[in-house]
Amino acid sequence: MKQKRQKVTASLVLAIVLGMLVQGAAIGQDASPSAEDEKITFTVGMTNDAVTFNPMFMIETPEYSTADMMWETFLGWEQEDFDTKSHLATDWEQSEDGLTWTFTIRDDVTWHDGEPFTAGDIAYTFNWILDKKVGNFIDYLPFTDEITAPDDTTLVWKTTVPTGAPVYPPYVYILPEHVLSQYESKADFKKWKGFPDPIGTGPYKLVEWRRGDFWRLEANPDYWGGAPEIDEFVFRVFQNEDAMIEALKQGEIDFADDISANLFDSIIDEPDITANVGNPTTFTQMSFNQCTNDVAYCADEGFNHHPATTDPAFRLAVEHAIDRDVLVDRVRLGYGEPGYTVIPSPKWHADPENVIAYDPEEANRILDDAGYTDSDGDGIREHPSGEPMELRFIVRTEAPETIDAGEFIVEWLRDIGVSLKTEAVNDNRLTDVWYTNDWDMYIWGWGVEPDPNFQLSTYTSSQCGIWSDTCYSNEEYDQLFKDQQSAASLEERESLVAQMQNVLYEDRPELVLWYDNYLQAYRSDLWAGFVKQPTADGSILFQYGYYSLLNIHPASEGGGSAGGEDGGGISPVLWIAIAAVVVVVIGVVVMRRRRAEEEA
Amino acid sequence: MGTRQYVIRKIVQAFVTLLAILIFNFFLFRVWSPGDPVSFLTRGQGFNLSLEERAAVIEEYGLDKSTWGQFTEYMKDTFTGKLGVSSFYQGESVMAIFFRFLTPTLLLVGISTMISMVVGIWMGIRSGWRRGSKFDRGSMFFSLILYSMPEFWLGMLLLMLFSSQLGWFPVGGRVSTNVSSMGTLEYFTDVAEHLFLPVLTLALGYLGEFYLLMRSSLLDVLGEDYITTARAKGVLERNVLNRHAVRNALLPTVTLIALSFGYVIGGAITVEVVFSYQGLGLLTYTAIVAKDYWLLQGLFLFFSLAVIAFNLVSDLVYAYLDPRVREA
Repeated sequence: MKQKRQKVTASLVLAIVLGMLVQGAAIGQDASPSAEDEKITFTVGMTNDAVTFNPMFMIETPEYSTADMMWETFLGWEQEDFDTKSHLATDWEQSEDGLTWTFTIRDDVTWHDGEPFTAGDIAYTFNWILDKKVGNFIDYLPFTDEITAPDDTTLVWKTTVPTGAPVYPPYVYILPEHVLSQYESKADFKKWKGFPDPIGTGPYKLVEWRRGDFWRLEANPDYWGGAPEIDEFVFRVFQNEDAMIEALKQGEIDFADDISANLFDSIIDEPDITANVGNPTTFTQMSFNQCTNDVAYCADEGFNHHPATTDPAFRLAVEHAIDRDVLVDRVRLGYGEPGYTVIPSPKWHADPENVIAYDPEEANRILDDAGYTDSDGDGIREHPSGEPMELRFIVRTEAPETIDAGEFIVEWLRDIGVSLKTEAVNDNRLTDVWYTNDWDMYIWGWGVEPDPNFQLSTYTSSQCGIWSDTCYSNEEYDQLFKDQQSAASLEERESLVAQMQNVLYEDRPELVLWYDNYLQAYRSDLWAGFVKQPTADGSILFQYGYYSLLNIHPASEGGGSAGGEDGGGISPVLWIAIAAVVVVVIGVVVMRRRRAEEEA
Repeated sequence: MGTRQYVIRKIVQAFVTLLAILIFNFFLFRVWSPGDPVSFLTRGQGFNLSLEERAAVIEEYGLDKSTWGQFTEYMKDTFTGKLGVSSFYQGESVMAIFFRFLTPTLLLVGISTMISMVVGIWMGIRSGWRRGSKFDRGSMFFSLILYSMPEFWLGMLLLMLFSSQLGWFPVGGRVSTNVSSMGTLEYFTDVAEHLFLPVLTLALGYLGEFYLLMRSSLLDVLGEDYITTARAKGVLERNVLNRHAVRNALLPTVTLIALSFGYVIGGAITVEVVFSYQGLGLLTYTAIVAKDYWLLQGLFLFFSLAVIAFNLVSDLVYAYLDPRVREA
């Protein structure tokens, strides 16, 4: 009896081992390049997961990067310098009185589901946004009186004041009327996550979404701008950036986006990787709480901050105490430049008239003059009201560079008798704190669009509790903002935009610390065809338009997906499984033998 | 006291504990911790909400009610099995989200716990039985090192060695990005490949606990008189070990096993981060930072249920194995 059972066990184990070997070999064969219809797949690494792809309710960068590939804007941005160019709309003109814009719309575009795309879809989308007050987009459609589509290829946009806003242009995704009209309310529409079945006009379509792991887009062969070269675009989610860079080195992904400076340095010499330093489109700033009872949102919601944050003298002293060059060199490792105003893009950027230089002695003098003295001799000054100069200072766990910068700033401010209590929090927490106006200072950043309109809007009084960092409120600035929106000529608008940057710099509700270079990297042994936007020194993917996206192709003929890398041979897991089985078999045999001996 | 009363008493205790936890959770998330999901909810809706719209959202999630009102609704919903919808995942049901993350967690933590349990207990028995032998000293040394090593650090070491240097295993994730074009077996190997390193990390990390407990309790038992008696009777050494020593020494380990399985669904957040392996640990973290009351409540309910259930099992098994317990 015992003998028999032993035999059964042994043969069972043997069968499993053999089976695994055979199957392992079969896998090895499968992976060989026998499949002719192998798809070209491009894999991008991301450190943020997506929550929704509903184009009206997205928050995170990867969500927008993905939506950009599926839904299009009606006007586009030039590759060379972000100038407005034709896209779904081919021509446009403004009436003599400046109140009516008329656009000609393409007639050769179809939605992903085959329905024809018309000017009516654009009008419907814009009106839906205005009607339902969709916050993510509504600010792109200012002064709108009426938007209509008299026929399939004409869009008429009437405004209440003369404005160039329609051609800045609005960063609004155009959705199909036949889909959008099915939703009664904003809340109804929000339940749809942009998946399944996103219907857009773009070159790609989301076909698979494995939450927490990856999502996949498939090429739209009927794209009006020409079928994309790459069949599949995969976004893979990593929980930490080191792993993402490691995956790039291993060839598990083809592209890494928005890399932090120290990791970027670690791959710059890798032979098969090309690392690109894009010119800055983002800035990092340190904000001071500007809430007062004069600001409606602050008065309604209540606020709590140190009295010094609303004192211009204090903020000026802080600026004197901060050495931006050190921050760029030590925190950004040189991948950036000292920044002063809130518009980094060369086209609209204006240098401040009086740059405040690093000068701690001047900072001390200013504080002395303003009545900030250290009366109790503890090295910390007191506010004229008697309150010690101890301020709360928030930095972001999602952006380790803000934590590093914070350490420098804490030291510098200690030198002028100001004590900062640093707290590192995640963005959700920071958003909460910011909403309740219960903070003194924080470091955060902005990605700035090619057109300055949106960025400048965030500093207007009415944006408090919406986009405003600080609840800064200045009537002169608000008026300038309206003036630039209705400026008669480009020159006039440029001068107004420059003036606004200067007003903000002089009032300093926040200090722009530096402009960040956009750091990206890809596997140059596998891929070629990347182009930059702007052409001279810009980013190489996730641009305003499909310049790289439709141009990337495998580096060599026959070079295909980077996904099929570990093809051939038996996978290590199988080897280990086989080894484990062998060990178990030997163990069982030995034990049985020993037991038999002992019992004998 | 009879067995039946014992079982009933234990079950009642379990229910009382669960009730206490449910009440505690409510206050922990909604009353004692600062902030609320309103900002997240309204931000997700898009900015520029009018006050009425904002109020509508707050009402939709029942946040306009008083604490007492919210509490009664929470208790009612929990007991009728309605766990509600998540605010972070914009209206998805808590149940669906939980189950989406459950399988990967069970695979990761379940398998590692199983492995460390079997190997740890086996090593503990061998070590204790041959105290002072080379095996004993060697395994003691390694178990102590592994036991005191932070899991995420061990994970990073393994990742550097096996993924970065040798390239044998993927650097993270749960599956390859081309799973949809895979056959069943391919899919299976792919999942196994991704699981290997994190499972190894956790198995090594958990090993020491089982090993040390088993070893010390075996050593205790070996000093008992009945072992000497058994030997004096001429019982085979192997039988002394298996029938007399191990059986008694396993008792404390049973408790540890049950508790360990109770914690399985809690996930292993540090290892999940290192290997980009999204399981329930990371989900809990997400829910906490987003102040997602509904997801948090659901998750903590399941976690508590698991721990309480396995505690109950451990009590009952213990009583079954050791009659002294139920007699007491």
